[in-house]
Amino acid sequence: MLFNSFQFLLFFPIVTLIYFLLPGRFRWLHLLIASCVFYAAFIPAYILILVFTILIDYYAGIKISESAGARRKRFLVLSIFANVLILAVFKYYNFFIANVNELLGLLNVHTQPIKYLDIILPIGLSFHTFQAMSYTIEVYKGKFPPERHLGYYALYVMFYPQLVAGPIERPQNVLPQLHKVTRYDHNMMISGLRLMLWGLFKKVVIADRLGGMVNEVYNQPDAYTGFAYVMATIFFGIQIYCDFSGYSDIAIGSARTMNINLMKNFDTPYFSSTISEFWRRWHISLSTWFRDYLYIPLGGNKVSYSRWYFNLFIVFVISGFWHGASWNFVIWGGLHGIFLIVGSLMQTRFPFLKQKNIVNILLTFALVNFAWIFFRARDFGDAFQIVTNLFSTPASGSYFNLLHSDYMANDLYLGEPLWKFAASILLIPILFILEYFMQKGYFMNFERRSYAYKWAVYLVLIFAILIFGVFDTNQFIYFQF
Amino acid sequence: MTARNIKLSLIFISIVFVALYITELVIDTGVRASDYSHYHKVNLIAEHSIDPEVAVFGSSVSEVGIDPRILKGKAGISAYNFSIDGTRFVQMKGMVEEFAEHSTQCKTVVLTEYFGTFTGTEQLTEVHRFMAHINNDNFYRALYPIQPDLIWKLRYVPFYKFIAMEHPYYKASYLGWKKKLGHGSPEDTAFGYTPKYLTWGGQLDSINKLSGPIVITIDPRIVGEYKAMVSKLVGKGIDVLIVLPPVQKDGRSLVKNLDGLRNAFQEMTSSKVHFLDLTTMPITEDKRYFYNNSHVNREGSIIFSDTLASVIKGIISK
Repeated sequence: MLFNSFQFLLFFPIVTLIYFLLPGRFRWLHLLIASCVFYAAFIPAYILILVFTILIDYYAGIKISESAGARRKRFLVLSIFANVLILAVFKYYNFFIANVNELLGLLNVHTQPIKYLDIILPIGLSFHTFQAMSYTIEVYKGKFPPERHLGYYALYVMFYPQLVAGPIERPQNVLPQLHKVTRYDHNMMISGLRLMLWGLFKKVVIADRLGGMVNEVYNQPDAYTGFAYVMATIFFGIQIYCDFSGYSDIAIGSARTMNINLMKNFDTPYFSSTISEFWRRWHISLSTWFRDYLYIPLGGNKVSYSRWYFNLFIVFVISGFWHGASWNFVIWGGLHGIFLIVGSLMQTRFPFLKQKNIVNILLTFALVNFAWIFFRARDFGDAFQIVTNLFSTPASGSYFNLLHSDYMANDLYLGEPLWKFAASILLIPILFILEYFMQKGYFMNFERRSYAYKWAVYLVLIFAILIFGVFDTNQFIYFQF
Repeated sequence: MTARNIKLSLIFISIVFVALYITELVIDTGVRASDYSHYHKVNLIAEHSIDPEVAVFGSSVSEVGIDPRILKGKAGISAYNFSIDGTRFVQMKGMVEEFAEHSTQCKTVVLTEYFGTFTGTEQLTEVHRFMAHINNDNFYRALYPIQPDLIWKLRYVPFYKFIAMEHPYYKASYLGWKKKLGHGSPEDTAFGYTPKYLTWGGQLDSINKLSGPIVITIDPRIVGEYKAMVSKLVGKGIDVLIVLPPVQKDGRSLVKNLDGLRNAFQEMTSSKVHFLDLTTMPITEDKRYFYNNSHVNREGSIIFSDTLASVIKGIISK
């Protein structure tokens, strides 16, 4: 079920209302059933995958806590193996086979190509497998006791707000909150609804509106001029941010209405002045997952410089691969790894590169957007072509000439009429100004403002969503991961 | 939750509902009064504000091809072209039935068809054109089977229309209000006809060479619906003239199963149902009359309309 769907408009108030009407001891069951309905709205059969990993991880968690030494480790390995196996089969098998077939072809090995699996990637697979793994790892580390109640553990993995695209939670944060019986809290309800409204605005008004233009340009990697590819890339950078952070806001907001606080997933990442700062503010739940469960176990930065750089690079390559079974994502991750390493080297020599100023923010924004080309392009060939075309000029030699031709102006406005293109451009400063004020804490006192002020803001958002929103059941980009 | 919280929440929800209701009402009222583009044609039918003796229905082929002024000049009857581009029979059906139900003067309905008339579809074209009149039963019944989920919500879910409104809808509303306030656009002197002063582009020849065959599929369910609609028209004493319009020779060679389509229409003919196949009329040999395979330009439309007028004149004089 999509957050921006009519079904969710009915689902959410019904589930939330029943949640508060039910006695505390039944709430877990209610939320679990609701989460199953939410997930089954995509492909019902895939719920069996979740059942499989839930049972294994639940069992592994208990056994880890009851065992010692090598036996304890064996159960952790069992849990990780089961989760990675699911990922390998459903997400990476066909990618692996495609590469093997390609390699055999290059080596002139004449054999029948290995067959692909005819399967669809289960929605949000990477998210819930990582969340499940965080549970067994935390239990193994002794930081969290195993959950003895299968229902609560299942709900930890399946809790509908964050089931398909995170935030990737930790058991310490969510499980105690699921156990706690709370009463209706009006402030939490309003705060949650407000966050959901803002998230929906970012998704349907900004992300989906920009998405149409991005698709038009990126699906034709040699049809436009450099200006169009630069604009489409910037638009994609904004689109993916609004899409994913919009989803996270709706997820966090809908959990908050039930008095459950999920972790923050974005913190105005495009205001970062370095790439390392960007990763502390972008998809925080994933960055911290990789930091805690991969980067630090590899030695983190408490090793030699060369080993540290290797750690950084490998973590980002794996992070790229986590996003999708394609070389594009690996290159995207690798690029960020390289940016971090080079950035670290340069900042040692030129400390001003670390300073918080507009030049460094723009430089970071440019680097992040350059990497997005590989993330968004359909394949490596397209990405390469777009990078090559970034600096191409119109055949006439001048953009000014394009403006004077109705037909060719289309090229400048990314296939849309001028008014749509201009309106889309206008959305970007609006977003950044609002985010800037949010970061500065301007909205911290929002609750204390007059009703006329608050309600006017809510009405503007509701009308903006209804009138300027794009509603053609666009999925959230991160669902595919 | 305190009583004060409940009260404030109810006040806020009421404000939202009232604001949305008023906004929707204002927008829809404007659209219903609008002369803008195809909204005008839909309005004319839904508001029963026009009742020509000859009513032409169809898609873009008919919209650019049939000039009611020529029909009037030659056959001496009032005529209006209600064709809307991109609109298949299954979607147009509601307009035809609504028109026939309320018409007192109509003698002949011209149904201009094309290759996709009997092909099933699950996608409505520009649904917003019909949205201001979604409560009209004939429109609703025609649109519902194509996208049931969307059409049901547009009619019954409060404010759902907002998500289907697009830029032209707001523009139509604005122009409708402008008209209401006494600043309407000039009268439609072409009676729904939209001439195209375009010529055959050189690139069309290469496109035709590269194009694969266009296979006409015939869905018996849609044929049944078509027959039922024709029966309703005949039941009202209206003559029905089904027209297959001219198709440029090179383009025609790409079409497979054209005979199947012809036969389907031929089988419907009777004393009140006539079939006119103009797919091979002489102008189809000459690219000067077309701007693409199936659309005639202004020059072509004069000859097409003239031919049609002669046939209509014959039908009326019987």
